[in-house]
Amino acid sequence: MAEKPTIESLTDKIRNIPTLPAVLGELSRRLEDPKTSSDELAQVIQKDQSISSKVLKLVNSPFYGYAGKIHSISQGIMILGFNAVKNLVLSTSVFEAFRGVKSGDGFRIEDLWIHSAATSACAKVLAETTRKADPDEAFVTGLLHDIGKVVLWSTEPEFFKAAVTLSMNRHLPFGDLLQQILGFRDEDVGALLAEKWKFPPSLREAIRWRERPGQAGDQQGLASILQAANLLSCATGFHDLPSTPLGAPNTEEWKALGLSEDQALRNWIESSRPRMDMAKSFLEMLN
Amino acid sequence: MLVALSQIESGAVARASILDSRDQVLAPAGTVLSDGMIQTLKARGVNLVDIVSVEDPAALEDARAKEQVRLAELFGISPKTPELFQLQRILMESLHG
Repeated sequence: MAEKPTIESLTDKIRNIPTLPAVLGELSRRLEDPKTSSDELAQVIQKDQSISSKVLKLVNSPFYGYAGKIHSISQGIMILGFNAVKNLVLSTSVFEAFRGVKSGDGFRIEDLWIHSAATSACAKVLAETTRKADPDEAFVTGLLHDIGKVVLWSTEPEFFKAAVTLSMNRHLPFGDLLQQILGFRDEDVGALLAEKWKFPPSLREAIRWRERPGQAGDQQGLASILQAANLLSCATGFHDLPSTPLGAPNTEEWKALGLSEDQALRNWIESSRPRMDMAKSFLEMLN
Repeated sequence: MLVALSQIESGAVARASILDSRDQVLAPAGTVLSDGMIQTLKARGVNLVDIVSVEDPAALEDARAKEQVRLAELFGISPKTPELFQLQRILMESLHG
C-alpha cells in the first residue's frame, strides 16, 4: 500500500486548499442579523459575478419549479428563502473550488458528484417526510457529504487507489477500512475541510457523523438522514465507489426514520427516484 | 433505433456495441447506460447510439436481469444486517413492479 497519510499530514494539505470566496463569509455574517433585507443579501451575492450568474441559473432550473420565472437574486431570495439561496451559493463555491480535480485510474470524480446529487435528492425527500431536518439543509449536506473523499483523492491519489482496492478485496466499506488502517474516516477529513471553509456547524457535524449519527448530538436527525440517503443512492446504482460494499445503517436510526416499515421504505424509494434525476440535472448546471 | 446521445437518458440499453472513432469498444452491446457513461461517451465524441426501444420486452427483461445481478453482487459483498436485507428485498421487488 502507498504511504499512509495521517490526520496531521492531511490537515497540512487542507491548509493549502484555497479558501471559499469572500462572498460566502459576508453572506453568513449578514444572515445572522435579522434586520438584513433580501436586497442587501442580493447585493452581497452580486459582488461575485460568476457566483451570482450561476445562482440565477440554478434557481431557474426545473429542480425548483420556477423555470424562467426568477429574474434577479433578490427575487430568488424572496421566493426560495434566505437559507436555500445561501446553500446554493455554498454549493456553487465548493464546486468551483474542486473544478480542477480530475478522474484517474480507479476513481471517477463524475461518479462521486452524480452519487452526491442522488444522495442530496434522497436526503431532501426523507427530511420532508420525517421532518427530522430542514429539507434544504438536507439537500446541501447530501451534495457536499463526500468532500473528504475528494480531498483524499486529490492529495493522496496512490493511497486512495490502494484503499479502494483493499475495500473491495476485504469486503469492508471504504470508511470502515480507513478507520481500520488509519484510525480516521473520510468523513473526518471532510469535517476538517468543512471547518476550514467555515461551513455552518450543522452541516459540518452531519458530514463528520454521517456513519455514526448517534454521536452527532443536535445534528443526529440530519446525520441519520444523510446516512440513509447515502446508502439508498449507492444501492440504486449511483455508487461513488462501485464494487465497494455498502455501509450498514444503525438499527435504531433506521427505525427512528420509520424505514423499518416496508411501506415507508418503498414510498421513500419511489419518491426519490424522479428527484434523483432532477438532482442530476441540477448538478449539470452547477458544473 | 438510432438516437442522438444528447436525447438518451440513463437506463437506456445499447443494442449494438458503441465504438469510438478508432473502433475501440466504449460499451458493449447490452450495456445499460448510466449518466456517468453517457457523459464519458459525450467526451469521447460519440453522437449517435443504437439503443433498444423501451417497448421491447426482451430488452427490458435483459436490463432487469442485469440490475438483479448488480444488486446481488453489491449486497453480496456488503454487511449482512436486517436493514440491508430489507433494502435488497424491496429493491428486488420493485424491479418486478
